[in-house]
Amino acid sequence: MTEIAIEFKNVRKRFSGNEYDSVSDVSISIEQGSFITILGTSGSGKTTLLKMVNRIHELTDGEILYFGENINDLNVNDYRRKIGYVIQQSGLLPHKTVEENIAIVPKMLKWDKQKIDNRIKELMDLVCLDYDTYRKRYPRSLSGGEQQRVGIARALATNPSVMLMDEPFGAIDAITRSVLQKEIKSLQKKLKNTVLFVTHDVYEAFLLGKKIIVMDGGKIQQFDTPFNIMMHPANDFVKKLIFTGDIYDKLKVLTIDNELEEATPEEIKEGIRIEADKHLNDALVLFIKKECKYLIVVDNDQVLGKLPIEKLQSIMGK
Amino acid sequence: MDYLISHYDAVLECVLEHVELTVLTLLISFIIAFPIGVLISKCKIMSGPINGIFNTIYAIPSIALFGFLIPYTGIGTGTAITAFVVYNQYMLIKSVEAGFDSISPTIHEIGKGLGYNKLYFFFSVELPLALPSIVNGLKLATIGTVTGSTLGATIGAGGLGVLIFRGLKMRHWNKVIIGTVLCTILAFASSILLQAIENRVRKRAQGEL
Repeated sequence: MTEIAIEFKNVRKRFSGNEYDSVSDVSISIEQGSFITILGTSGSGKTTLLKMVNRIHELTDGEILYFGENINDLNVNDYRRKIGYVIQQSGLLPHKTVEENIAIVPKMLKWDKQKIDNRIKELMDLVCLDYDTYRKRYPRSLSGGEQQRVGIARALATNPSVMLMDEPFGAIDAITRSVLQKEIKSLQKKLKNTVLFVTHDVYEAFLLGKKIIVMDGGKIQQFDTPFNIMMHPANDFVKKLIFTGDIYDKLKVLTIDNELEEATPEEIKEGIRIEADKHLNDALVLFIKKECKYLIVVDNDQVLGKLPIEKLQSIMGK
Repeated sequence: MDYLISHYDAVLECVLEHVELTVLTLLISFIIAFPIGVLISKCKIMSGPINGIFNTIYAIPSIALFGFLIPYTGIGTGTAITAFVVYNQYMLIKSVEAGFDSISPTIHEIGKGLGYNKLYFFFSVELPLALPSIVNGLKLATIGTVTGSTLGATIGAGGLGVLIFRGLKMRHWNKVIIGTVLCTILAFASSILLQAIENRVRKRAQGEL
């Protein structure tokens, strides 16, 4: 069984002066190594929920556990240094260079200079920024996308097991955003850290999330995989939020590794293969191109099962 | 010009006294204004009353303030310095406050998120970002003090004011002109110097250096 990275227990938050709860009745467990997106409209409490994890907002009731420990029992600054934090406007310190920004937490932790320098180089490679070109530059001279890359590198500096991201790509143009989305997804796959990612963009939430927390009115409406949310929305709100008239859009956000059927050895041998992290629209294209009745879903040469064309039809019909 | 050459020593003394008076005034002003400015930037409730008080004091004519202070601090440099220190508070406190206010909430939030402790955050992030506004206030206060402190001569404080007021009394216009010109030069020079510093810290804060 996977370890639980973050656990919310009856968490409630009411800001002083308010007569309503911004977040209430939240009791969920986040497994280590999962990419969780938190989806909701503005005012849904999604950002508040996220910011309670690193105690930017202190919870009113209940408790949050970090690998089993109550976060209120930990030294707040030591704890925060263990958690990666990325926010919408990158939050880079304007008077520090790219490398100084990345080095902030390692410096607090008193790493030696050589270790810090090596780490900076490693991180800049990781987020695809050329070390020599960028390390001495100031945030002001970077584009929004580049700034966000630095922001991500900084959050990853000490290889935190938990990363909090608050609409990190919200203010970035569509093309750069889709590049960054792909990168953060593969980065998380590589590092296997736990990511909590707040977004109001339904497509982004489905694309990135292994599981999605759908929030409204401070309450969790549904916490499930993209597939289950799409196929079995818990209530009218979720239904409305994810409703899209365009079937193709629906296929685009769903990965194919859901509810697969057992494949016979013969099918495995002859069937057309497709990688598990591809989306259903890719499968649709293959079905049309190859005129086949089923696809064999593989994850690095390991067969997971088969996706019959009827399955796709039933999803499209929904 | 003849006067300047023949009384070179006396004039130089006046200039040095003037510089001393100004520097001392500014130093004391800043030591008082900085913590107050920081305090009211962090604790907004106090901002209104404190700015109100110093704004009101700022509106009192300096001669009147001298008159008010003399019974307590006597005649001489002490009174002049006290008066200008009190005057400077208005501008300096405001600029310190504005400097810290100009730091966006995002920076504060990310500072928390990264796990900065408060004191380290103050000196390594807040102060450098607030510095342009603070130096700007210091520049204005300096110009004000350099020119204003000539009035100190009326209550026995030294400096170029002595030259000017004696000249006026004796109808010795050369003295008046030399005093005024030197005072202006001092004001100009310090303004240029502080402007250069301000530009530098501003570039530093914005990440252009």
